[in-house]
Amino acid sequence: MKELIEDCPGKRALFLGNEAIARGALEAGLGVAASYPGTPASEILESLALVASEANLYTEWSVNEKVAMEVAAAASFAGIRSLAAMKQNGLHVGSDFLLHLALSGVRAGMVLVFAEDPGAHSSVNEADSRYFSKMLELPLFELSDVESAKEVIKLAFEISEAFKIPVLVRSVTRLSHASGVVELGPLPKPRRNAVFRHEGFILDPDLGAMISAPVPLKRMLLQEKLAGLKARFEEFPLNRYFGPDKPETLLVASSVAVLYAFEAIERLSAWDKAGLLALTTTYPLPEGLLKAHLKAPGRVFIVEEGVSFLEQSLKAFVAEHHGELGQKRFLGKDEGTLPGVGELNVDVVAEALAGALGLSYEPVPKAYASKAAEATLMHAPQRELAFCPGCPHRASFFSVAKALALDGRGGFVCGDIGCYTLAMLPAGFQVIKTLHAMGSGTGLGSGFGKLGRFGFDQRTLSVMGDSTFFHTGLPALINAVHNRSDLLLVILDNQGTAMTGFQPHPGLAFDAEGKGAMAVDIEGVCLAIGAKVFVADPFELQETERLLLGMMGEKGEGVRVLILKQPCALSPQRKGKGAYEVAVDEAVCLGEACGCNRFCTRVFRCPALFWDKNAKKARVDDVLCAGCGVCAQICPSGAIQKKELVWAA
Amino acid sequence: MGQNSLKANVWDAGLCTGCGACVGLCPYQGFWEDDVRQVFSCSLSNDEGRCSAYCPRWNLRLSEIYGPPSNKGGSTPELGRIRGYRLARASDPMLRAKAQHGGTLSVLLAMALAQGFADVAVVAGKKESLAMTPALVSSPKEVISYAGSTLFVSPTVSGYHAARKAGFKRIGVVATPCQAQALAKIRSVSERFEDHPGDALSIVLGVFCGWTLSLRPFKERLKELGVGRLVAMDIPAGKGTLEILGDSGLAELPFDGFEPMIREACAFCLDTTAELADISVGSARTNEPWEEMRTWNQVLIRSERGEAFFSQAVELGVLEVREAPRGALEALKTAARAKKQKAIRALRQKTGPGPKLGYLDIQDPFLPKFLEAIETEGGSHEGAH
Repeated sequence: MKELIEDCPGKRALFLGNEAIARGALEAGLGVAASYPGTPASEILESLALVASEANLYTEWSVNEKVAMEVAAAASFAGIRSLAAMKQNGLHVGSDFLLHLALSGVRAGMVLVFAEDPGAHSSVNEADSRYFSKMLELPLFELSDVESAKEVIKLAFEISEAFKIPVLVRSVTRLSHASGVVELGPLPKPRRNAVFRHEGFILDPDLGAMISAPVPLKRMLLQEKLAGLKARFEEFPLNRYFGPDKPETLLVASSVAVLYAFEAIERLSAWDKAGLLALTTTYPLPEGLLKAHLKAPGRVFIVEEGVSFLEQSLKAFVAEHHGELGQKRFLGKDEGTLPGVGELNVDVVAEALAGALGLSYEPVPKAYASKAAEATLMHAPQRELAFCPGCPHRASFFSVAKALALDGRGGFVCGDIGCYTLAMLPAGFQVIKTLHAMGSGTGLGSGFGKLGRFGFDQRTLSVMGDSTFFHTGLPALINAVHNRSDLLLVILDNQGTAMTGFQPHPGLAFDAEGKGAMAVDIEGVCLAIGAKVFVADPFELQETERLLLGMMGEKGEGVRVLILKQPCALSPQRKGKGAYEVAVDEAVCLGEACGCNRFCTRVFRCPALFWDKNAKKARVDDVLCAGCGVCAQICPSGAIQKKELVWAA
Repeated sequence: MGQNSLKANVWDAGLCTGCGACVGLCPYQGFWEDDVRQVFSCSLSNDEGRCSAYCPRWNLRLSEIYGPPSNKGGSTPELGRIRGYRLARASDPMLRAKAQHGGTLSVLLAMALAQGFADVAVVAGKKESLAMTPALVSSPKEVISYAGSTLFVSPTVSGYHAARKAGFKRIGVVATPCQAQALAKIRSVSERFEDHPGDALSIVLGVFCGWTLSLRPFKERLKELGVGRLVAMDIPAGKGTLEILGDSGLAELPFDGFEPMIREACAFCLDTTAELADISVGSARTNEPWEEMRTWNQVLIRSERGEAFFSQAVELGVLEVREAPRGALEALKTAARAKKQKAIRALRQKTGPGPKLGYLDIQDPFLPKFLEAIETEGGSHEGAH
């Protein structure tokens, strides 16, 4: 994406939301960026890494979000503007550091972007992390559209540097992954000289040590900064009002809900009755601006995704200024005008607003809706979430499911975060029975592994991926080893952070910018910790099953780790080349007469295997097949046959 | 009847003997340690499923597996068909030393392979973990390495399936009573399947069996006892003890402690002497002193084929025979009847009032006669079969 570093002020370019964020940081003179991959935030660092050498940046995929924040903070302490980017969970992972960073403060501008996922499209939570701003007393900006996102990021850097405070910026999927036109600004070429000054008085923000103590004094300083920010936000250019001077109903919105609210008023032609206050700075709130707009309307409708963060703030504000502002009726999430969960969209907001204003609104004509549903049923194949053809996880979980069933003690899998999360579904034989945060499967496994004394006899297998191993899996594993837990861990090593797009992790020999890096050997680390380690190829089903059963057999033998190594089917290192040409020999496949009850298509369920309704036999879809050859091992008749392919070097 | 009802009515109901008849036919169930497990759920519920058709603990028709009553060879309700009753042992003392008791079974098996009674034999093989797994033996020389029995179940019948899959047409099987029942049931339903799965069964060498132990609790007990690697185990006659030979030497422990480990399914077993085999072999638990008798086997010769086969072994001089002590057969009958009576009581208790009687097919015309013969104290009803 060459436009990302094009120094051509005034030019208009189409950017992904995350690219607009990256461009904003570049226009602000960014020096260091760190991140841990996570949808919908990943493209921020990916874009910056692509232009790192040209723009003289240092970018890295950090081991986890906490470390990413720390790497970015170090740059700020040394006078280099920095950015840390992450998905919503990341803010929670790094919050301990952030709690202290709020008190120590920063020096060069430091911006922390967290991209949230309302509706949980690519998450197993629907976190709204905005309360961290109040909890930690840190300013919060919410991005509402691609074009202004770039400007907000620039302002965030300026404000961070001026107030020596890290600034939190919230994006969401619909912004990070939407594209919009952005007008390029000038790209500065800052001369950088990194020095960390620490010789001054402890409370000196420029020369003192960067420490959160003495806590009461540092908190007083932090609160002074907040008071200053409040005043500054009165004039913040991206807090905007649209509508009549004295609307009956005031909509207050933040994030992408600003667009939904604007569009809703537009569709209802209600600009005579309703106004929209679009806020970027949702903490601390600009009080003067609020007072000016809250006086007239009798009704305030807060439009936001996540929890009722803004709604609660406004209610408190109005209560506090009751004498001046009078009685208001509040609409929003709390009393149910808007749904409490999931994403908003224009229709949801317009229907809610229509109800409030006594107007009627039909989002989609009923005749159209039923026609569309019919067409979808007819033309779109019904598919559930599945592992890709050739995915090593299908093979791994096939063996895991078999081993758990054969063991017969009600065993289950403690799942973790990655593509392999799908093993909670039929795609992975529904073996995952616990699923929480990154690394939690191993922490839970460590705990289950100590319940033997209370009669716990079930076998638990924890699974995690290679990237998760480094992220937060390692402390849990060490915990289990130290405490002699009966932990059985399967590391699904597909050699990359596959789910988010093959970002490197510490186990690989290259870094975010594609340069050589130290590869940390997972097997070596496990051995060094004192775990018993086995390594296998998950495509070898029998051997994998044998090892799993062996691990599960004896109790009280301490931590055993099985590393199942096989690169992801979509991994760039495979270059799309399968190892085998796979086909069903129609003469051997017995079809319905086999008695296998369509094992390959009904149980194994690789999307490349399908049931030919006419021939009444199983077949391989050549277009989808990745050539892993695993299905040849599962056919009881030996009808699925594989032929080794030789690829020219 | 499909896998799911087999699971509900046999595996989960504590009726599964672990014979292995349903294992290795399809990818939906497997055998691990000493249990059959549902690996994936099979939604088929047609009558053609082999898993339920072969299962000796599902709809077992005694009349079908025993075949029509025959005048040749006395048929007894306690012991099944009997053409001959002998004590026997391997003539070779070296072989006897390696085998558990008299080594008769090893001799017969080696001869079956050497004389072409079978191209391959399925036997219970031991794994490191104590669990048993069927082994295919095709050379008479290999036989002795499988001598000696443990008290755990082996999915031997799945070895028969494997041998068929490997293309063997004449397969001999060393079978416990439940395994012999399964093989007989496979023969009885053979015509239902295009590939006639019973046709490849050439000879069944039966092993007496009173019960088997559950592997997991037994392994835990061994661990507690510090036995190390288990080499052999035996139950000396009349002592109420279990002999365990391990790395650290021989231990003789009161059997009481092991009784709770007896597999639940064994309580419902009607057969002690592998009645459906061609020849059945057991240890010689007679009234004679055990130290002398432990080097002999009791042998029940059942079929015509078995008779010819046994005579050949004696003629070849590989087996020594002697007449059984007086009253030994009666003692065996009494023990077998007691077991049958106990099993029927257990089945009645399990299934409760009503015509249903566990795994026995109540439509079986032979069943009332059989029950009457067993439950009537005393008299042996010759020719009841």
